[in-house]
Amino acid sequence: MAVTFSKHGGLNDEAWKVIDTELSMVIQDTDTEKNKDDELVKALYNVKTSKKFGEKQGSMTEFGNFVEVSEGDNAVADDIQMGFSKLIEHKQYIKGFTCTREAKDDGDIDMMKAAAANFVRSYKRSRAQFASDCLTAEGTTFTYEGKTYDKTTGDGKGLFATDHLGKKTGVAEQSNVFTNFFGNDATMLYRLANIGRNFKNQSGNVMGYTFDTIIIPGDAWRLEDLVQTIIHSRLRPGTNNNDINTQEGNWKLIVDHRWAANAASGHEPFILMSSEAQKELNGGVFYDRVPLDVANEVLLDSRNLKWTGYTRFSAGFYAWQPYILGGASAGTTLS
Amino acid sequence: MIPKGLKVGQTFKDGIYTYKVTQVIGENYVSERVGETSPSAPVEEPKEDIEDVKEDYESLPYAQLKKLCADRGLDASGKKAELIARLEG
Repeated sequence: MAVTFSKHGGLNDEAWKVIDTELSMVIQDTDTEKNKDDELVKALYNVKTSKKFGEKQGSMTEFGNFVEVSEGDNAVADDIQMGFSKLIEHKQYIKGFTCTREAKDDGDIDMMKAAAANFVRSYKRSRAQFASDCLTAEGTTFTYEGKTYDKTTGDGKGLFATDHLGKKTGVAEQSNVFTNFFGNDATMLYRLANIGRNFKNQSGNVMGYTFDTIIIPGDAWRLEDLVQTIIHSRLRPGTNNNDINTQEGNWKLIVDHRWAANAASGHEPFILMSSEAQKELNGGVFYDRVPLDVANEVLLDSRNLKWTGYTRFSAGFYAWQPYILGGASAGTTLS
Repeated sequence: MIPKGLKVGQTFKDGIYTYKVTQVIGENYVSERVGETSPSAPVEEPKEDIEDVKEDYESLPYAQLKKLCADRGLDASGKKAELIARLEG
């Protein structure tokens, strides 16, 4: 995701030439720094590049099982057909900042360098916020910076829905959104993971994916503590007996620091993810269509050096099966 | 614990939230959050002393009034009004 430098009017300006070079170096350095926002996007999605206006992924239904026939009988005819498809369209985002001529004359280079570094971090934060908002919202849309975006999957339902459809007839509706809270032990975790393992594909066949990732909001300290205990304890947490904790080492915890749930303690939402399903089904994808492209120009009217950053990215879901939302405001309630 | 056997339209509480059942699927439901009991809402103090409920004698059942009389060493026979009069006296 290297930064691209496009037009650089500042380089050709005697007054700004040196500062332009220095700030460009700061931008490049900041882009290559280890960054938690970059890591978050990679953890939540399959991050891919794209060279089109959008990316579409189709699918096929599956054959049924082989059936026994009597001697001499013909093969049972079966066919596969087009399954669900989903188009994820990239959007463009742009932002700018200005270095004033006055600041340059007064040698205020540190502030300009800080602005340049901050600019890159702002880009990375935007990607992560978009990715997080897209994943964690309930419903068929999500909002990022006042704009509404689609978050439906191939079956036309929101990523988290109680009525995901099959493509073949006779496939019962399935739910991957639950109102039940995490609770105080591993029971709900195990119960939901078991439901996830039994998710069926659009042809009605059980997929058998193992759920192995717990994603929680950044402001859920109680839940974070509990999950850490559950996934690292040898013996079953919350009990005074010596039963073995069957969940030890089975899970990876991702604290999504861009997800602010503002939930009361004990009522936090959480997401379970199957990284296996995520990869194989290409479930959630984040596309970097145009990584940060920086340009600048000396404005004749003000003699300021104006920088702009242009980028295009998108996120979406081709399949819902890799994700389960718990603690939702609406969904299936396990009694 | 989520109660079992609810029907469409019925509500239940889970923690501080109230949910309304919109669909029943076997033992489970599809439900949506319809309200919240604010954790900061004032909590009514428990009435620990029987003296605090003196005015409520009228609302107590006859059997309970008899027990109160017996507990206090009063005569536990007679009509409800007599029991109340003894307790208040």
